[in-house]
This record gives sequence, structure tokens and C-alpha cells, in this order.
Amino acid sequence: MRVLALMCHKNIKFEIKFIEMHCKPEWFVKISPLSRVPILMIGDDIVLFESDAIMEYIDEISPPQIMPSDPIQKALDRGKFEYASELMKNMSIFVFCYDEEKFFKQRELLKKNIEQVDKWLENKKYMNGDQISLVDFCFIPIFVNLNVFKPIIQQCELTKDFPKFNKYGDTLLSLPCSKAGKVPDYELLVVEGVEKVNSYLYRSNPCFFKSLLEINTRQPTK
Amino acid sequence: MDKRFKHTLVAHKICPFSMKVLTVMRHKNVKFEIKFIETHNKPEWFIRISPLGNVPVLIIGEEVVLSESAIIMEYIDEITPPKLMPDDPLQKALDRAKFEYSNEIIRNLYSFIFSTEQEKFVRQKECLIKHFKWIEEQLKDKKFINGNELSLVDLSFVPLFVALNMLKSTLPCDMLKDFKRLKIYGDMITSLPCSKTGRVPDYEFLMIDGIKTQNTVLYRSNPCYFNNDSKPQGCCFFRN
Repeated sequence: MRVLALMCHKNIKFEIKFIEMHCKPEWFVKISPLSRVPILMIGDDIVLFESDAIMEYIDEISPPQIMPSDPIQKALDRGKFEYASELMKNMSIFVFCYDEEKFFKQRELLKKNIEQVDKWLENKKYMNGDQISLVDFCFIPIFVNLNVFKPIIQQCELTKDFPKFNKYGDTLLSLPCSKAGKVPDYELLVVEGVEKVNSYLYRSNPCFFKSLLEINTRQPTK
Repeated sequence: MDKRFKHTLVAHKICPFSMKVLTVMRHKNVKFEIKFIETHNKPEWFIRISPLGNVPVLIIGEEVVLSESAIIMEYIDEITPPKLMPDDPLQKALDRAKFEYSNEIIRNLYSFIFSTEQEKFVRQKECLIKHFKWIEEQLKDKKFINGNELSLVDLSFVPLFVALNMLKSTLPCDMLKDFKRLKIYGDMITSLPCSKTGRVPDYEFLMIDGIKTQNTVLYRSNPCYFNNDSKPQGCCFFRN
């Protein structure tokens, strides 16, 4: 999602192919060394993998660059790319885990992660000030996800103490590339996934998920 | 020296990611201090400054903390021209992807070495063989990954071959025996001066000690090699 959002922001012309991770096509396994998404194919032969490498490449070929040029700032931002990935992994576990004990452990871990992001933000609009930079794109998927489960997130007070984090989320979600960077049926797919694994989050909020499924299946795909 | 530019590397003695950074810093002759920590018993000051709690970490001056080996390596490369990283955006991206690939294969190897379960041990070995094939394909007939000249991505593979050499000298088994090009490449990058100075002198000892004390599959199936007993002819585990 971070790559897609960036490509939309930079108005890059591209084709997109979606695949199923639990049933990867042979052509994909052959070209993707670590069998992960996303990959960017350039022409017929070149395959770029790793979202951060792809993002920096896209940024460099479509000036003006939104990655800082100072070596220290660049390194600090790259550190935040990694932190955002870690936060996203923790969120995934939180949403999809079956075990109650694990769920609450993840919630505490997430709170620590969110607190760190809140601290980095200070009172800035974006991570590095008034202007968007590459690092902000890494946080878009986090807020897109949190938004799917907004009432539950509010209920378990995950982000309650972090107003800067919440404001940052609103800013990122209001960007056009944030909307363009996800598939229209994203929410439905996530909710279906949660239902399928019967996660703790799902089991403890059945009415919420029922209504969410109904809303999303009723809406025509945009 | 201006304290704002003092570099302090926080590392773990047998951590391969710490070794990557140390290797680059030695190659580039960077002046720095080094602090070793135990990862199973992290000091409080470290937990406070390292957002993800991982080594290596590079402290610049008093306050700036960089983490992740690939990030630190690129930073060091940029502040010590001439750069080993290419300028072309596409080549740079391909190399950055290989940094991550080298992390993955190193994680596999360490998982293999320190595995305590038979099934996991065998699985990791199969993963490794697949990865070796891929790197061989990338190398083709080149001296280094990107041609005739050393680049940053070569230094990120150093810990892989250092660990494989450690295994080779302890057990009479050569995991690279079917990968001629990879062997030549490995021998070459481990013979670089920075490869030798990029690790602690007691690296092999600490690795072997870890293999024994964690009662790994490797140890359980080859105790004689780790206990300096009289060595039998064949390697009792790697027989295919």
C-alpha cells in the first residue's frame, strides 16, 4: 500500500497485477527472490523487490524528491520506514491473533509504538515539518487499517492518549493518494480475513463485524 | 574531537548485522568507539535510545541514534567518499534489495546453526541451498556482485561467508561444495582486510560456545567436533 500510495502521489504510469499470497502464481515465485510483495517490474527483465527500495527508486526518478538529501536526516527517515513496518506487523498480529493473552500483549506493544510515533511528531504536521516527505507514506497503511476498526480502537483506548498521532492520521488519510493507494474493497477484504481466522478481535466484537460486513457488501465497488 | 561528530557503535560480538557495519567502518577507516552489549540482557541506557531494541546502533554525537545495519552502512558510505554505493537510481534500488536479501540469508544461516529442532534444522538447510543458487546466479562470472569493483552490497555478504568458514573449520563439511562461483567470491571477500578486522578476535570461539551451550542440532549430531575429541573421518550429519 505504501508503494501504491506513493506512485499515485507522484502520478506514475503503471500497470498493476494483484496476486493471492496463500496461492502464489508460478511466474511470481520465479522472479521474486523472497516471494514477497510488492515487487516492481521494469521492462521485461528487471525486478525490484523490497518496498523501501522501490519507494526510494520511484522518488528518485520523479523529481522533486521528497526524501531529504542530508545523510543523517536520510538515515533517520529510513529508520522510521523500518519502525513503521514493525508497527504494521504488530497491528496485524493484534487484528488477526486468536489468543486473548496475545491480543492484550500486542495492545500494550502497539501503545508503546504509537507513543514513539507521537513523540517523533512533536507538533509538526508531517514527520519532517510542514511538507510531506517519503517517510509519511510508510505510515499511511497504519492509519488506513486503524480506520477500518475505528470504534473498536476507540473502545480499547489504543490511541486515546496520543492526540498528535491521531491528528497526523487524519492529515494522511485526507490525502488523495491515501484513497487512491488502496483497492476499493480493502475494508471488506480485511474484515473477511478477520472473520475467517475467527480472531480474538472478531470474537469479542461480533455485532460490529456483522454490521461492517453488511455495509461493505452492500456498497457497490467504486 | 568535536563531540557532535563522535561515532559510537553499539554492537553484539557475534551479531552478523553488527559485523556488517563494523566491516564497512574498518574499510572506510572511520574513527569510532565501540560498545558491546549482551542482547539477552540489554542495559537500560540502550533500551532507552534504541526504538526497536536491536543492534547495531550508531550514536552520532550525544543524541542522534541510527539503527538498522543497511541504513548505517549507507550513511557511513555517504560521509566517506568515494562512495561504494552506485549513483544510478535503478542500480541503487537493486543493491538495496540485495541488502535485505543478505539479511534474510544470514538469518537463515544463523537459524540453521543455532536450531535446536531437527525439523527446523533441515528446513533451514533447504532454504539456504535455494538462496545460494540465487546468489550464484546474480554473480554470473563477475568478480564482485556489481562487476570488477567492490561495492557496498559485497560488504553486506561478508558475515555470511565468515560464518560459513567457521562451520567449515569446525566440521569437515563444506556447504558451498556445489557452488564453485560462490566459493571463489566468498574466499575473496573474506580475504579483504576489513573482513578480518570487522569482527572480534574471539568470534569463532563465541560461536562454537553458543552452538554447544544451546544444545543445538548441530552440536547433538556432531559432539566430537565441538569437544575436541579425536575426529572421525566423515561428518555425521551433512551426509546427503
